[in-house]
Amino acid sequence: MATQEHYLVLSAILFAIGAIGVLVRRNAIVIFMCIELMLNAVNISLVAFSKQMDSMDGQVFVFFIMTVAAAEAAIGLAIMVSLFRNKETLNVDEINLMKW
Amino acid sequence: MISISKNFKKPGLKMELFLFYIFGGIAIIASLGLVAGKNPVHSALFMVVVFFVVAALFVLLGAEFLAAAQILVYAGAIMVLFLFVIMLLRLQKEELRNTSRHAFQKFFGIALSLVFAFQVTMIFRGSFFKGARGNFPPDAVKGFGGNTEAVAAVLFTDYLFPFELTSAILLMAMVGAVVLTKKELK
Repeated sequence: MATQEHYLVLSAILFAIGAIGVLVRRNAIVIFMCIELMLNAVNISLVAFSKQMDSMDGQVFVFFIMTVAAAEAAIGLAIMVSLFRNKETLNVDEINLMKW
Repeated sequence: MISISKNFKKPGLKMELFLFYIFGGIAIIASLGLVAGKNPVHSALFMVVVFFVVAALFVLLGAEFLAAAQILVYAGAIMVLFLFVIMLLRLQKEELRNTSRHAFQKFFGIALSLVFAFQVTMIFRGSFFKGARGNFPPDAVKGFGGNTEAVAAVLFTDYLFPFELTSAILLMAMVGAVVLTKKELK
């Protein structure tokens, strides 16, 4: 019997691994994948809460998060394609146009 | 905590815990591979594993509709998009001149994330996740005909307007992606 705690702790671990990826990796596409991993971790905790609370709202939220993640992936990858076309790199340390 | 986890404490569910540890372990190992992989293609393939395992966890939690949607949307659509872009952009050479300019970035990134995970775990160990029960205990879900029907019953009544808004979001995303990747705007 896996309790809600099990799922929430797993969700926290996956979220932290995703956060490590965002903070440590320098490739924009890998950072983007880590963001998707963090979204997935949050989805796990939402579904666990939904089961715990006898409610469907959490699952509907996950549905909306998936929609937004799909839109985000399309836009983000389009931005990366045009970025690569202009700067020939996806290393986020070299993409510093908007830094002062 | 024990008193409020009634839904999770049915008799004869030892198998569920076993499967949870297997899938959870695979998820953690695959996500570590995703973060540590040198080649972005390897990272993307580890990501596919994570998506499938999360779908399996959704099935364990009784959310079959979301498990199917997870495989279709994430493992099907989003991953193909990622792999296409990675393979179009010749990223293997990118990683080689990957020099981090910030000295303690790795150390602080990992340390802060571990602190974050520890704190969130401490919060989750508390027992204040009590609240009014919703309208969908397992029997009611069965009465609807299954998880998919129960999700639809909520989605198309309480959340009808947000559901319609998602169509606008997807349309904007589609137009935005086309405009952004166009060679030059006329």
